[in-house]
Amino acid sequence: MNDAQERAFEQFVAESGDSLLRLATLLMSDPGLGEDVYQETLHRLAARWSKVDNPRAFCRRVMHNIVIDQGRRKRRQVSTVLLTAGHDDYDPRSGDSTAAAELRPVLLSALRTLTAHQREIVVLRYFDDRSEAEVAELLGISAGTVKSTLSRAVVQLREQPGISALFTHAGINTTMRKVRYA
Amino acid sequence: MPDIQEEVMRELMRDATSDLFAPRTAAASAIRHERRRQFRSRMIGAGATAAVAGLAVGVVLTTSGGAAGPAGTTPAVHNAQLTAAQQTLYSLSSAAAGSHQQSGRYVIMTEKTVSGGESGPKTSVIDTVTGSVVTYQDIALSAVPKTPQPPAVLKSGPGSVPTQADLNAYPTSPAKLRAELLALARQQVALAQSQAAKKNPGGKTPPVSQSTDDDLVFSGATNLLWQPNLSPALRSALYKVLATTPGVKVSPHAQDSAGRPAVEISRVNDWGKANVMTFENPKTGATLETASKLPAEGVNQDLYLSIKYSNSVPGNPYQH
Repeated sequence: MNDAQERAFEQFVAESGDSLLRLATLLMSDPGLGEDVYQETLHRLAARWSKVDNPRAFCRRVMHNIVIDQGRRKRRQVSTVLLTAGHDDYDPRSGDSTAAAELRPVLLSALRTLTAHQREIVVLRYFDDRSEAEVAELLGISAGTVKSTLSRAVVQLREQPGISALFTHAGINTTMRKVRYA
Repeated sequence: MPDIQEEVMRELMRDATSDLFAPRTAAASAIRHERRRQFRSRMIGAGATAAVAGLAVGVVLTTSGGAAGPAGTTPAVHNAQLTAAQQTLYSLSSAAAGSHQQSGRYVIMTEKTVSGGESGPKTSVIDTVTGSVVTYQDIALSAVPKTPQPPAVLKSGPGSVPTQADLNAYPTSPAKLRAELLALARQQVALAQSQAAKKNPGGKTPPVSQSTDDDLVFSGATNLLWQPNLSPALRSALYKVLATTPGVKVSPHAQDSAGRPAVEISRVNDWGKANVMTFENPKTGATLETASKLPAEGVNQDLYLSIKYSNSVPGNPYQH
């Protein structure tokens, strides 16, 4: 990379780094692994920078490849620290400014119950805000498969302790947010 | 799925990650990693011009007043015939062999990097953390302090940084080690050649490298020397390999950029365009600094400020 390319690379990372790190964390459902994937993705992007037209799409593709590689290496991990059923009615977002810190373990724990493939579809669709058609194209599967996988994955997520409460109270919370943000 | 539940999913993912921020040095780290990778590639690819032009470059093993070895050959080393440069390298080899190998699950190496470029040198100080068991992490540990257990890690890409298992697999006989370094470098050249051919289907692909064996051996040896978790036996053998590599220059009373006493070992590629230097601690054989100078670039330096070993999870490497 020459100086101008380095500046452009640094600019891209400054603008997109946070969301890429968050995407990686969700895809791996582990903050440490997410950090590693993020760094590895940047290394690969830096190596191909002069030839990449769409850096964000390139990063997404790299992360997808890493997820696939990880999936081949190890079997699906099921969280060993699930909340007990007694916490089902607990909404960790309610009235707490440290929502992220409390929500993350709950969400990552739930995401770990999905297969890597399911997790990738859910994260791309709901975090990365890709349409079902875009997810299908990226993963090389049909839009129908995306739709059905999403449906099954969300049902599975909803059964996880800590997550189910969020859906139960979803209507109220979402409405309140809309009012507050208005 | 009803829209409201889709919205819950989106909010959940957004809210649960809203306090995660990418390390500020991540881009600099990736650029530095890429520079180092490119430099190694160019070192392997160096020499093509000289070979095509049919230049005969004399290579000698010298130091101030040191004797010369025959050009393009590997001199046999006998105690009675050691040049001053070889004697210095053998002293380093002994120092390395007698050093105590420290151990720990993690090696934390703090290095100051100065990169030359079109707009002048850039300096950064950063920790490189190496998991000394099987895997390597290139400063990707900012999440570690929040993680109760040593984190799972990804192995670095092929050809980037050797793992502890890779290092342990190197022979410690100088002759076998030289052969191994050469074989590995040739594999990399062959791989680069096949990749170049893929990009040029149907056409004739020019050779990606015509480096001499001595270029490849020196490059391979110096790429290993800066690794902090080499065994004393391997480090000792590497100095003996350098002692038999034509073109190596040794300055026994040099200093590194921090002013520390050092033995400077350097070599200009046989085609004369890249100069690689490494500065070694004369008492322990540990590498203090590596530097390189390529045409049209400033000097790139990696100054190793400290090396620590730990069995517990290291702190945040982005603290500098």
